Amino acid sequence: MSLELIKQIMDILIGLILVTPFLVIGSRRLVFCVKIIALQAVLLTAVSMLMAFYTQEAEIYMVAGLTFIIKVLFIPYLLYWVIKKIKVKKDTMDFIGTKTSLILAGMLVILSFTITPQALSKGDIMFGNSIPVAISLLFLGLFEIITRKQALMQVIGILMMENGLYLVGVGTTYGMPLVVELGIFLDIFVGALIMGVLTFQINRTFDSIDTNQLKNLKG
Amino acid sequence: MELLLLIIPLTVALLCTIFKERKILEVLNLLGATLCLIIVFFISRQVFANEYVNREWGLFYIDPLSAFVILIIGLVGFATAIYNIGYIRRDILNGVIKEERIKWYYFWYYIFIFSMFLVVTTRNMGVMWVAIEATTLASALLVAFYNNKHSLEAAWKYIIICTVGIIFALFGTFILYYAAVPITGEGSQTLNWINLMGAAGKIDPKLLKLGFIFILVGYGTKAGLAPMHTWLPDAHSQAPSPVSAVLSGVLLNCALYAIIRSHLIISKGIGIEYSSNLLIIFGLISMAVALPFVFVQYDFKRLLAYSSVEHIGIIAVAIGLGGRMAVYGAMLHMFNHAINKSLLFFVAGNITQRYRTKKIARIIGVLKAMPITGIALLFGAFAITGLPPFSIFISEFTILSSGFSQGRYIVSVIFLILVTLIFAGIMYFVVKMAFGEPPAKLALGGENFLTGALLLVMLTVLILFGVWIPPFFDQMLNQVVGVVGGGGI
Repeated sequence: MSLELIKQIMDILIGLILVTPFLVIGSRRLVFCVKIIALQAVLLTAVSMLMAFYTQEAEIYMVAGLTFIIKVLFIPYLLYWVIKKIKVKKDTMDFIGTKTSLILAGMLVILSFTITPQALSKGDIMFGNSIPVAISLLFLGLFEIITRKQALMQVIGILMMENGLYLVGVGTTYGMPLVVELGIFLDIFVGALIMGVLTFQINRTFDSIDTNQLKNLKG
Repeated sequence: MELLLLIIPLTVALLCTIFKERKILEVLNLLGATLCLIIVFFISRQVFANEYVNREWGLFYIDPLSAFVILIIGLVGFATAIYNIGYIRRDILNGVIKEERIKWYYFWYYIFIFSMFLVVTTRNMGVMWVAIEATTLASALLVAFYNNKHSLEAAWKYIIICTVGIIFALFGTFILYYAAVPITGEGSQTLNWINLMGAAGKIDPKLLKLGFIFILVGYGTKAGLAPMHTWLPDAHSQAPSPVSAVLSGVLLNCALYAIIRSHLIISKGIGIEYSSNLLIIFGLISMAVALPFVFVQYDFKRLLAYSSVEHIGIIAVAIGLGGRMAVYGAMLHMFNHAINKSLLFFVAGNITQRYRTKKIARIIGVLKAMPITGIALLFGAFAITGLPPFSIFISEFTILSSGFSQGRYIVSVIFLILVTLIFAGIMYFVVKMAFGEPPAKLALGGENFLTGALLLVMLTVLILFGVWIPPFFDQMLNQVVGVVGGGGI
């Protein structure tokens, strides 16, 4: 593959990644959102594979494999299982409607393309577009956590932020050192498990996973 | 040796999952804590005798600053392990928790201790991040341990807010890494804070500033700096009291430790003003935010939690002021606060178990109902609000006089006013709780001997360090100050 081709494929992948958060924000069906998060992780795996192919480094192949196992297979399956067990289908009413959310999300993307620090996208980066897209993911994940009221949606928001961070790493320095990358995977893995357990307990105690009920502690 | 520090808590945690019997778990708990404490003493002796622990594996490095925090973790961890026994027994007796669940309590407790030791023994900023996130994950289920509505709410807020916050810290770490790669090359050694400090002078200052902002916000969330502190009062008040003690006494210090490390790197690169001023601003905001909540508080453990926000603010201000004296005060304050706050949370645990409530209005006459706990409550509160002759007075006084002698009058005056007002707020409630006639139905006396002895020993330490700082401790503090920031007043 020529360098030009790699760049073009990368641009397409990054563009597709930017589409995924909008699908999550536009939807209220939990299972669909979990599928989209898995799709996002598939795209990230593809980005890593391409990067690995380009740099010919074994470490990046390994990270790509781990991304696939943990973010594409394990976590979506876990979330899917939790959804099945506690029998929730739709998200409850949120602060703001879908249309407003989508418009705000679009504005956040524009914002992240404008504020992406010039210093962070100097010429020496191979895949310049990945940084603003990564920062968009960070923003949109945060947006998701703030506006959604359902516990699992907040977990999805956190996963999105983490994917964004992963993309920052890939886009700037071909990923973090392997030890750190492994540690981050471990944290995501355990974190998803613990958030799943807590969701269960919240559902058992409150009879729903609507975080609007979590408002008793004040002062 | 420093590997043992990680291996022991991990082994104890894994062993705890095997056994169900309460007695065996208690023995394991005590054994683990004692072994950890011995190793902590050994390591600090080694480090403070100038033989820095440095392994070829490359991930671990212990200098006086890390050794000092390790010492705090070890001491508070040991005290809490002793307190665990009486507390958990009483909870089982009261029917609050089931006996078969306590193995999970001990399991997560030791995982928690393990992750905190990892934070301070590693020298890789990335691994440090991983460890700090691990502390959140390990303690989230401890916060939720009572499994009721309030504790689940607190745990959910805790895990979501801290994870989000800490993602920003990772972003900041990424920026530092990205900025340092052109200078020191790729690989895990680049994230080594020793190398980062060496390279800081050549790193693009803009990136350093950007990275530090994200790191400060991220780890600041975990350290409980306002305005990112919102999870703290919930988590600290809903967790079982021994866990609150570790959360307040040690975990906040671990997060601060990460901030101090980053602060040192940034100061090497672009001078000390930028990060110092940020620390002072966040510190003063934390102190100010705690104030109104202290005054209108209805819940004893929340009162203590807000006091922790205040004290973390004090330490941040002191680090920000810089100079030998202020940093000396900051480190001493870190130690004093850890001992003092865990003592008060132990007291709070005793009180809530006896009175079956955390509401300040319904706690009257602690001195009569539980003499030892009552004495610890009263004197512990005197100490935490900075009255002489207790140790926190010394550290706050050191920080203040350094502030004045540096000519930072505005900062020092605000600091003084806030500390005084919070003193009034806390004492108002504590005096009401300590004196008076306890409710008629309440059982009197009958305190756990071990717990009572523990409280008295901790109280003695607070008084001892208030009147006389032992020479060896003074020497240790001076070595830590040498690492954090010599020079100046």
